[in-house]
Amino acid sequence: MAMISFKHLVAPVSNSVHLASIVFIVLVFGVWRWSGGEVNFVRGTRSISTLNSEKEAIPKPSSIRENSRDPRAAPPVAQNSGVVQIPAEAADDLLGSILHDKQPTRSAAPAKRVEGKPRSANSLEDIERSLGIR
Amino acid sequence: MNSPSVVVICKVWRSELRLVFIFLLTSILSVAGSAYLPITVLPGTLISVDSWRLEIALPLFWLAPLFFILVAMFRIYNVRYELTSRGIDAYEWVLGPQTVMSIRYEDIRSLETEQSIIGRMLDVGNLQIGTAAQSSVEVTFRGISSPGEVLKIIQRERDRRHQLENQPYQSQGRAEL
Repeated sequence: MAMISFKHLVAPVSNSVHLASIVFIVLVFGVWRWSGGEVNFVRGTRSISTLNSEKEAIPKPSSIRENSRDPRAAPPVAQNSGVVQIPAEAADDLLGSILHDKQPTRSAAPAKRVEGKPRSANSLEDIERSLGIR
Repeated sequence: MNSPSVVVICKVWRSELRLVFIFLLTSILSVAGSAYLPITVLPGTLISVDSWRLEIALPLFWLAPLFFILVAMFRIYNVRYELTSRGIDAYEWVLGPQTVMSIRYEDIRSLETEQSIIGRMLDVGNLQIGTAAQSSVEVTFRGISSPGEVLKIIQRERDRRHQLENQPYQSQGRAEL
């Protein structure tokens, strides 16, 4: 008879005594886990006690939600959020008021170029120069 | 297909009902006690190989249910009873220095069942087998299921063997007449 056969596989389940034994072993394991028993395969100097303390130190999702702003609350409207405020007196001339507000503003002065060594076109030369090769 | 020549009769869990009840009770107490007194859960290193370590947390209260279930399992798996084509074999101390008691069907003189009230309700009990060699009970099948049924099977087989033994003499007597 083959070593691996269906008869051998169902043997523990077919006998009620063995089946009850399996159930009791599972119960013993469950009681061990519920009582606080655990097995950890760890590397380094961390132990179960430190792991437990680290677990406690990690904020729970519920506490994160409590500390953070409620996402369902409406966000405050920013002052310059792109909404065009139209005065009541200019409601008739809507296009004109928008164009008036959006007129380009002239900047104070163009940014001055930084004086110094002229940047070479080739970045490789810059790298070589910084390394002192050239 | 041939029928098996050996019928194995196991001790059943129902016969160890008291230990099972104590196991369940201590299990509940273990869970509650460990939650109430977390100091009783002892952490420690089981195996350490190089920088890897196998660490285990052992709840002390859990040892109580473990003890009772191990005792119950030991009592159940420590005996084994067999009905063979030749007779009855009773193996005791299967997990230790084993003793085997073998009785032929022809040698059986007395068969008795012993059941308590709870045993009758759960259909579990002891079967005591006596022979002519000893005045007391020679073999006891402890905590087996349906002891009455097993008794009837052994009785039937014993009577059949007695009939087979007496048959040649009966035929010889008829021939003389």
